[in-house]
Amino acid sequence: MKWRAVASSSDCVRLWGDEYVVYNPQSGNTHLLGLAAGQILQRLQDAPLELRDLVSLLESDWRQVGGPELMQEVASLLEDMHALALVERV
Amino acid sequence: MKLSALSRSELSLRLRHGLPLRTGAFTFRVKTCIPSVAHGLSLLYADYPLAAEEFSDFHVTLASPPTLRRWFKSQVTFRFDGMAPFAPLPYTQAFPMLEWGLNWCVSNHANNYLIIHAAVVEKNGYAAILPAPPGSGKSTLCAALTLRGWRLLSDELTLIRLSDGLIEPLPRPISLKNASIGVIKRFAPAAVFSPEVRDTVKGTVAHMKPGADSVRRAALPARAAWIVFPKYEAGAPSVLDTVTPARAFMRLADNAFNYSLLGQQGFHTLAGVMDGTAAYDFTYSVLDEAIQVFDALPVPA
Repeated sequence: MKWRAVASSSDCVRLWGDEYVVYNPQSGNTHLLGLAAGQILQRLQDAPLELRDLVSLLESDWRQVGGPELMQEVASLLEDMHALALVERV
Repeated sequence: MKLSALSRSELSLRLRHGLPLRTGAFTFRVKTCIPSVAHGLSLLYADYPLAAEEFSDFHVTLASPPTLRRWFKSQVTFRFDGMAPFAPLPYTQAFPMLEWGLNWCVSNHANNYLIIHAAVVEKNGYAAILPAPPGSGKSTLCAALTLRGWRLLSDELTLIRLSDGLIEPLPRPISLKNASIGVIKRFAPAAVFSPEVRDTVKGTVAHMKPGADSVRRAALPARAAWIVFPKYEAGAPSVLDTVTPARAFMRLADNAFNYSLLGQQGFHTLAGVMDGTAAYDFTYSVLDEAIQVFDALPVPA
């Protein structure tokens, strides 16, 4: 199962410092995201990804190996973002 | 031609048929026979230009409802393009009702702007937006700033043009409530106020006449440089704390009348504002100190 961003346009995402503001054109809502959630969203905007592949890319972006703990954190963030209708399963 | 060119009797006569008053980008055609409205207009709008007769953005009428109440607890109704969007108010509240009604006209219809519930003032080409909930001292601080060299763009509605992100001035009388009226009267004894009106939904209200220079330069837009969320706290020192752009964005969006309505356009317009501004929380209690802080705000790169 893959995850993808509901708002696929990078035009709807702004990064200031280590905080993201994301506009979801489908819901009309705007969200404030932390750095990790914002980067996950941007990765999913590039292409739908399996959780495992997403975590690999994030480990590469962040230059650290997170292991199962990171996998769990990312899965939890994905669920939170799913509740906000920012990402969906495909 | 300015409103001050009309004698009291000419003003009353013109108001009976509809007076086309120009305030910033908008023309309001005000029609009324109520003396307190004519008095308020002559006092506070003396420097405003009268528009050409042909077109008005908003047609508003203030009148007593034609009911028996006219003879007992007399009331006033605000009508916009023939409709009455609000319940009638006591007759004594006619002038504040005009002011509230004019704000309503703009905030509900001018969707070629992102409209934020915020005061906005300008100095040396840089504008400071002051969004805040009621009771935060926003209008008091705005009034004080305009009495010390800042240009009033608006004390209530910050209009950000969707086309270029500049702020469209809408300089109208500054609405003050309760203790703030006395604070500003003591701060600037020469300031001109409308008569105080008691027992409104906001308590006692009075409106302060904006400076002639703010009215004269009403066609000159400004670029936002600062977003300052003011908070009055009795006895508190003046303290300016940085707010991150993302958090300021969310708070501004919450304070906007039409952010959701504008959708992605609202998002981009607000993002553009955040790119060029610095944002702060500002706690204050002494107006002179607060003005010093504003005068020393660093110009964003």
